[in-house]
Amino acid sequence: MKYVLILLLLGSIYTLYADLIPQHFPPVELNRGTETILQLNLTGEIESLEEIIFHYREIGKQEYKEVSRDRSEIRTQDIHFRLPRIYPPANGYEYFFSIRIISETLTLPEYQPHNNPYRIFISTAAQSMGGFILLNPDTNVGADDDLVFALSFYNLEKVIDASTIRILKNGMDITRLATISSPLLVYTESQPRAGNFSFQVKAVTTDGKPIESPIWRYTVASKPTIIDQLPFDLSGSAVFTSNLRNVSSDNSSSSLDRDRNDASLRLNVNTRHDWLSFRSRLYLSSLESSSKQPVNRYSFGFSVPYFNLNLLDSSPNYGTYLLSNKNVRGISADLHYNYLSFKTTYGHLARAVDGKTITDSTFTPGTFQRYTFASKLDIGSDNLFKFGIGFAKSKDRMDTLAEEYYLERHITEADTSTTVLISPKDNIVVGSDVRLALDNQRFVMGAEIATSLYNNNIIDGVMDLDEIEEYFDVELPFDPSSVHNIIIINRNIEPILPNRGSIAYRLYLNWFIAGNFLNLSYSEVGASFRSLSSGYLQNDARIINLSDNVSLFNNQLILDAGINFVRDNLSDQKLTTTSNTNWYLQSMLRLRNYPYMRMGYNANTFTDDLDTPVIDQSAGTFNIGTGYQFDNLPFSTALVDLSMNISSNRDRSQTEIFDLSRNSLQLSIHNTMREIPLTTRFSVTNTQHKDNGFNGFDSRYYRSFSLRNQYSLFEHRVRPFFNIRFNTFSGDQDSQLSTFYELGTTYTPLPRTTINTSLELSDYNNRDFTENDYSIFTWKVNIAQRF
Amino acid sequence: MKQILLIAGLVILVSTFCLAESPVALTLRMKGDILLIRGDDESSLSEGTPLINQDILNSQDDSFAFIKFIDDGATLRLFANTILTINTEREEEKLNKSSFLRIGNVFLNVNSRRGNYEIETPTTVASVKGTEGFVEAEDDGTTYVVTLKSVFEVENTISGRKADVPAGYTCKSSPNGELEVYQTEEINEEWLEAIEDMPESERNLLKIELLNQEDERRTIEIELE
Repeated sequence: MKYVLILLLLGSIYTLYADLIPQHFPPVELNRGTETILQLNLTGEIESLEEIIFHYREIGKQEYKEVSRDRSEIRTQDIHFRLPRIYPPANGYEYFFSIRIISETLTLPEYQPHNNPYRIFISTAAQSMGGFILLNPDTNVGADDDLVFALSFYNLEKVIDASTIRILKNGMDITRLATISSPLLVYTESQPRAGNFSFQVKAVTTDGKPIESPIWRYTVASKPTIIDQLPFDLSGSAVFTSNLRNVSSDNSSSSLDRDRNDASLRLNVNTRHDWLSFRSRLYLSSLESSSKQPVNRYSFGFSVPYFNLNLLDSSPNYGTYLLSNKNVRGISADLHYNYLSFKTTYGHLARAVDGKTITDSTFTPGTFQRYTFASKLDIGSDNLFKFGIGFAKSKDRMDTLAEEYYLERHITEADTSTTVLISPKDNIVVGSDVRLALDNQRFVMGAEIATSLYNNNIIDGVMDLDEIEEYFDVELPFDPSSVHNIIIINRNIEPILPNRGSIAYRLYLNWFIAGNFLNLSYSEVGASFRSLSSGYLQNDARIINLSDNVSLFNNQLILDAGINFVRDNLSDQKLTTTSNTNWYLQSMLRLRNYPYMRMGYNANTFTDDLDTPVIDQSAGTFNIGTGYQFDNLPFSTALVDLSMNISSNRDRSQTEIFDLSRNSLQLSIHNTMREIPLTTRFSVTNTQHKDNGFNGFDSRYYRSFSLRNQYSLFEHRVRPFFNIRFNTFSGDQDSQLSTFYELGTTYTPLPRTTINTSLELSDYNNRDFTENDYSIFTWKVNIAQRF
Repeated sequence: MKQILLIAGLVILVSTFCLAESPVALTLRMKGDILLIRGDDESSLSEGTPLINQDILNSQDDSFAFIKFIDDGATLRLFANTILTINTEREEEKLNKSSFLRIGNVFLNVNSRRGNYEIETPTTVASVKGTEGFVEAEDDGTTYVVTLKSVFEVENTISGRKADVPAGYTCKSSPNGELEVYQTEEINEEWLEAIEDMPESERNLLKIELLNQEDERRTIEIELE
């Protein structure tokens, strides 16, 4: 009977998530110095979607940052997330997606994404053609200076046909404005406009072969503004974004969420004067509502020597188990002197939100205001040895929520009981960490350990000593009521006495050695360990993680390999113990002037310890891709990328609930015209998947075609673009089509001012259920001013 | 007769083109008035002006110029009140550079792998084997060579005496043929300040301005070896 229930549960879960299929193709590499946009495609029952969380971190960092989109923000089947710009010496990013649907959370990558995320690396340096000598490589030009681009082709004088030389400034031919006197060419511009300019020289050799120089980028400073004349440093940005939508749909309920307009303003200000600096971060959104958790962010930071103070929103990091990955609205301070640092934080982790009234006596649960207070003392230096000790106390405030939103009282003659809708919690975590760094932080090892007391329901308040001793059959050396300000002890406390199950610890080693970036970590989180002030932790589990990233031959060959092992039921309180083993090997070969190639394999097994396993799953994903940049026409250069992904996921238990196979092929071409500033991106994807399992289905497909054209006018100041995309897919509901059209432009009237505007039309058609069809028309505006 | 004149004209025109010199250096940055004397022509030097062999530069009060050779083998800073003649000779892939310093002061930054650099004054020839140094010629021909990095080889052309001048040393070459090498006690502050005007790339200084994710400006200066 037990197995039947488990099978039914697994079957129902599988059926649920089979309805929504997320897909993501990682880009080949990160852009250097600009944001990288990631696209997540959702097909199937998008209505079941609750929330998508995008987790990312710099390679080498421990903590993930999170960007969340709830259902109201997801309006199309293509969701975009931005990875912030990144510069060397950073290597790149690791990231994964958590997609929460009704009663289930999917992830991409599917298995152990925390430990086996997507990885993309920063692009390698521009390829040098050699031979050209830039005579004035000072690329920062003063506001009152002339812009001089002077290039010598002394080493190529006998190779180049000087009459074929063309000089391109921002892609436009300016040869006639330059002076060419072999082996020297000079372009001079008096009183140049402020902004960024690129120069490149193209020519034909005496034997008829086209050659081109690297691209050199110059920045002409703008005339001093009022800001420049202020007696203190001031920098920052203001970004306004708005989306105005109009939804056409027969199904009014499905269009409700999509038909919302939104606007936001982000204002970052940084000032510095001698030893005093101030920074503020404001994010104001029309999505802010007192009936939801905060969307707006207000952050004000002050720094003087030895002291930092942050008011309102901040995300302090006190270690994995104490306080991390949480926004705290309150006050955060850090006092430091030489090898001593003391930091403390007090504020709210969550705001109080009332539930909804269904009937006069029926309510939905609300949310308590949850506050946290944390302090940590660190002794030592990041560059050698550091020891820290601290605590974090988090508690829900019962007085912030009316009783009906957390307790349902049945006041009939037959029933006077109560039902807890949501319980207020209390938690304290005490922890310590130690860290050793050697060789200029190329070798870092450390350990973190913490223990917690967690009360899952404090509605009834503290119990007295006798009650506690009777209930738990223990002898306490103190009266629980005397420590109620630290933790409320009653029958819901876990544990009553600290034990191994209430401990979490982690050992880690990061080592850059001989081109390797080696990561090793071992962690255990006890069954009763809880930290309300930290991000997600898998309880009652042991996790071992080993990975290595190797860059060889001047970053032309990158190998990435790792193994991750997770075993749960450390407490031996569950009927079965599951273990999950995941290993992967990825490689990227990028020889200069040759096609690049990448290949990878990822294997995962998930099984329990029963003689006849109920859980016995194995999955494997093989991916291979190649690409090449070449001149496809006399006047254009193309970067072609072809990727193939073959994956399987099989239930090897007796019932074989699923036996999934998925094949995916993607071709993308990025074409750049040399004579005219036109770039074209073309991409086509075909995915076939089928399931031969118990709840299987016949072959289904997902096909996508997209095209993006961008033109550039007036020295890149105006860049109109056009996007189209067609997605067709099948599923439980057959033959669905979504189309997307976008027409817009980017305008840069001033070097630090950018205006983006576009019109989008997104159409969804379902052949089986036409009532689900909808069409969304969106006008997007984005205005950014940096200063 | 017309045909003879036409042919003569064509011959002169073709000869002129054949004899036209290729540029050998470029004026990178300058300030003040500097005369450029090319044959019988005299003009004002400006930024971005290509220089050819036998060009004479005559800098006036409160002026300076940075000259860069087209093989990227040397950069020269011309101080005020200096008269310098540019000359180069191509030897296979290398461009051997020599300049005649009639009077005044120059600062040299040389990459000797791209060809030799000799600077000649009325009394002295200084061969640059290394990287940086000053050469000053006085009215009477007395020449001072101050080596900042690597070595200058100095020859007094009157007496034929030679000496190597390593970094940290100064050589005084006199019209009477004497050659004296001694430890540099103090370098003219004006000279050192002048190097600061040098383009950052010529000072082996890499300056990178970055905006972090929150638009805070940070500048990284890297001094290259």
